[in-house]
Amino acid sequence: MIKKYGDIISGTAILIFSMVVYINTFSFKMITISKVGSDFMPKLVAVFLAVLSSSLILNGVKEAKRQTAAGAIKDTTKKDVLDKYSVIVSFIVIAVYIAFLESVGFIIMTAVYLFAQMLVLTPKSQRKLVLFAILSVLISISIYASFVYGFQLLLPTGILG
Amino acid sequence: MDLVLAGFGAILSFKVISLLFVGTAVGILFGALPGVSVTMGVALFLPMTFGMDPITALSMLIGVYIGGTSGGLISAILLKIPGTASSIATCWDGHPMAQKGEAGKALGVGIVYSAIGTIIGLIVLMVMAPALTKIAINFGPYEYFAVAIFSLTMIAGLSSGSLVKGMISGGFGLLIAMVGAAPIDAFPRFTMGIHDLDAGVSILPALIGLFAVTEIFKAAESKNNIGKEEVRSFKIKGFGFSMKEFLDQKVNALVSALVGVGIGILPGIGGGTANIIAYTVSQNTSKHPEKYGTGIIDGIVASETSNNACVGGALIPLLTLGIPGDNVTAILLGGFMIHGIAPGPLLMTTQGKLLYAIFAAMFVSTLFMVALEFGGMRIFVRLLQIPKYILFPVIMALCTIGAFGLNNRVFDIWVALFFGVFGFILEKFKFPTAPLILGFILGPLAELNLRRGLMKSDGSFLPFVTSPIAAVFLTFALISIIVTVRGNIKKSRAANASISA
Repeated sequence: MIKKYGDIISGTAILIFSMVVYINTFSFKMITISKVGSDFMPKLVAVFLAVLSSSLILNGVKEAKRQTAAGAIKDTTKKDVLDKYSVIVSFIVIAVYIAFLESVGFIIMTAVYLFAQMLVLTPKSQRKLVLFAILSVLISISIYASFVYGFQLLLPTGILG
Repeated sequence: MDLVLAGFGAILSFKVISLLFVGTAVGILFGALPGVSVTMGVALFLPMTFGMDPITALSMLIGVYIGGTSGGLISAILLKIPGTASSIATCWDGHPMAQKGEAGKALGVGIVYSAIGTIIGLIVLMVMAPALTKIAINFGPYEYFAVAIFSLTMIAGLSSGSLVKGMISGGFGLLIAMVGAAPIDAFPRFTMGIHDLDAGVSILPALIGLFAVTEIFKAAESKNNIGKEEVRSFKIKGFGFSMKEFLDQKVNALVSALVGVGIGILPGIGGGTANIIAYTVSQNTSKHPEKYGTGIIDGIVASETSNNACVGGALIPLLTLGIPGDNVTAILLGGFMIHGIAPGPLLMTTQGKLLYAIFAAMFVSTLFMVALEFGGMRIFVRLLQIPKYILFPVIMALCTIGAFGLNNRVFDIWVALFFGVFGFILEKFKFPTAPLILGFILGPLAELNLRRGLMKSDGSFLPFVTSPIAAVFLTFALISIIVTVRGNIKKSRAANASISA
C-alpha cells in the first residue's frame, strides 16, 4: 500500500496541510510597520509546500500507473515481518508513562514503563517476566539516583515524595 | 599559544578529565551499538550536563561526539553492521578483512586513523575558527540572511533519494520553527491556543524525538527480526599494522581527512555522508581501485579518517557563526544555549577560554578514544550483546529525563513523543529527517535577519545583494540550486531512458 500509493497519500495530506497553514496566516496581525510582517515567511513556506506536494502527487500517480502497467510485481525482497501492533502498543505505553509521570512520580512510573516496554519489544517466546521485573525496578532506581544526586536534576517525586 | 595552554589548564582537573573519559567511553558504546547513534548519545547525555559548569559540560559532550564517531567501526568490522551512519563505508573493506582473519588489523587501522582524522580536523578548526571569526564579526542581518539561505540550499544535498521529499521535509522544519512568538514583533503563530507553545518548540525535545523515540517504534516494528548477531573473533598485536603500511596511506589519509573537514563545514551534513564520499574519492584516485571491497586497509583508512575529521569541520560553522555543521552539533548548540552561551563570532572574545578548552577536550578525548578502543575492545564487544528489548526501554526513560530536564515541564516530553511519531511516519513515507532539522535551525535565522535587514534598510531589498559577503553567499546558494536541479534532471532522464530501453 505505502509502496504503491505512499507518495499520493503523503502528497495529498501535505497539500491540505499547507492550505490550512496558509489560511491560518490571515489571522496574523501586523504589529509593526514593516514591509514583511510575521505572516510573510509562513505564507512563503505554505506556497512552497503546496507546490512540492502537488509535484509529489503527480509523480505518485505516474509511478502507480507504471506499477499497475508493469503488473503487480511481487515484492521478493520483503522478508521482514513488520509488527504494527507493537508500534501502537509502544505508543500507548509511552503516552501513559508521560501522562502519569508527574502525579505518580518518576521511580514508580519508570519501573512500570520499563517492564511494559520490555514485554512489548520481546517476542512472546523469549519473555522472562521475573528478570524483566527485577531489571525494571533496579534500572529505574539507579537512573533516578544518578540524575538526582549525581547530576543535580529535579525529577518528579510523585506519591513517594 | 597562551590560549591553547589556558584551554588545557581549564580541563586539567580530575572532574573534567574523568567525565571526558566517561563521555568518550559511552560515546564509543553508542557508536558501536547498531540502532543507536552518536546524535542520540549526545542528546541523552545533555541533561546530565545541566548542573555542570560550561567547560565540564561541553568537554563531556565532545567526548561522546568523538568516541561515538569512531565507535561505529567496531560493529562495522566485527558484525558487518555499521554502528552509525558514519561507518557505513568501513563495512565494505572492514568485514571482508575480518572474514580473512584480519579483524585485528582492520580494527587497529580503524582506530589509529580515527585518531588521525580527529587531529587533522582539530588542526583545521584551530586555524580556521579564529580567521573566520574575524570575518563573521562584521556580519549584519544581510550577511546572516544570505548564509542562512545558502545553508538551506544544502537541503538539496541532504536529500538522498527524492529531492522533492527532502525539500518538503525542510519546509516542515521551517514551519515547526515558526510555532510560537514571531521574531521582531513576537506575534504568537500557530500555537493552536496551547500556551506551552508560546515560546515555540524547543529544539532539544524535537531532536530527542526524531533521533531516539523514533528508533523505539522502529525496534517495536521489527522485534521479530532481531536475530542473534555473530561477533567475529579477533586478535590485535601492537597497532595491528606495519610502519610501511602506515606510510603508504599518508596521501589517502590526508585527502580523506580534507574531504571529511570540508563536508563537516557544510551545514547539515556530517560523518554519515563524508565516509561514503571519502571512500569513493579514495577508490577513484587509487592505483588499484579493483581491490576495494575485497578487504584492503585503504578503504578503512578513507572511511574512518574522514568521519572523524568531520567533527572538527562541523564545529567550525557552529563556533564561528552559530550554525551547526551536522546533527550532533545541532544538539551541542542546545548545550551552549542551556548554559547561556550563544555560539557565534563573539565566542572568541567573550568565551576564549571555553573555546580553547573545547579544543583541548577534543585532543584529550582522542587519546582516550585510542586507549579505550585498544584496551577495552573486548568489553565493548561484550556490551554489543545487550539485547535491544532492554536497551531501548532504558533509552526511552533517558529521553524522558532529557526532555523534562530542559524546563522541568512534562509538556516537553509530549513534544518528544510527538516528534518520535512524526519521525516514524516520515520514515514510513520515505522522507529524510535531516533536512527537517536544518530547516528548523535555519528558518528562524533567515526570517529574523530578513526582517531585521528590512527594518534597517527601510524596506529595501537592495542591500541584501549589494553587501559583498551576502552577494557571495547568495551566488553560492544559486549555484548550489542549479547544480542540484541539473543533477536531478539528468538522473530522471537516465531513469526514463533505462525504462524505455
